[in-house]
Amino acid sequence: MRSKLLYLAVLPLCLILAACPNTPYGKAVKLGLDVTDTIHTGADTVDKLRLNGTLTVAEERAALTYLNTLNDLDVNVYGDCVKAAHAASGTAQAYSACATSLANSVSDPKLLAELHITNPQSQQKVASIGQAVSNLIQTAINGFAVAAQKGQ
Amino acid sequence: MANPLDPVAIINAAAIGINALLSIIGNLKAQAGLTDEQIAEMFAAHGDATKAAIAGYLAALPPDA
Repeated sequence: MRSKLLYLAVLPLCLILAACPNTPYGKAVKLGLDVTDTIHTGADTVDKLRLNGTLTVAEERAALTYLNTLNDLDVNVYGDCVKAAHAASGTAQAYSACATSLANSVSDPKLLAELHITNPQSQQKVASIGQAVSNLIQTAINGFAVAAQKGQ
Repeated sequence: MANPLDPVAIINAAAIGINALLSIIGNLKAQAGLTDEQIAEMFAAHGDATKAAIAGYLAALPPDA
């Protein structure tokens, strides 16, 4: 629980402190990159949780399958949406629509229902990775809204 | 199943969280000053790397108990 809170609290701070792209396209691809990096870290974490006995083998398999689906949504669906928006000289609103679609996919209850992790605490830990991804996306959507107000 | 109140489990969980943060901070430092196109290339490459890592973890899993 403490690690989850620390992770969720500090991640947005790191993003604020980091050098951020200035264009809407830069922000859009940076979001995709941050999401896939978070998923990668989540997969590493899930494996460690199984090794220290917190997750069973079956639960790790379910969690990794869930994370693989999130990664596919990010790289393929969101990535293709961003490419299409960029090719059309997209505005911040176009990229925001891509991010909103990704947010809706990530928070789809059907996706979480496929986790099949019976231990509530373990499910919460895995779900917190999805929540971290959702927080990243929401931060980016807020950024696109600011960019849209500037006419970008 | 580990006891969630076990001090060792708490320390392990904290270590995992700190490692995750260090990894993300390292990635962010590496991304500073990159062009949009370079970030887009990193997005594609990291996406592939993440998929490969997940496949590797899945392949290395022992049989279900």
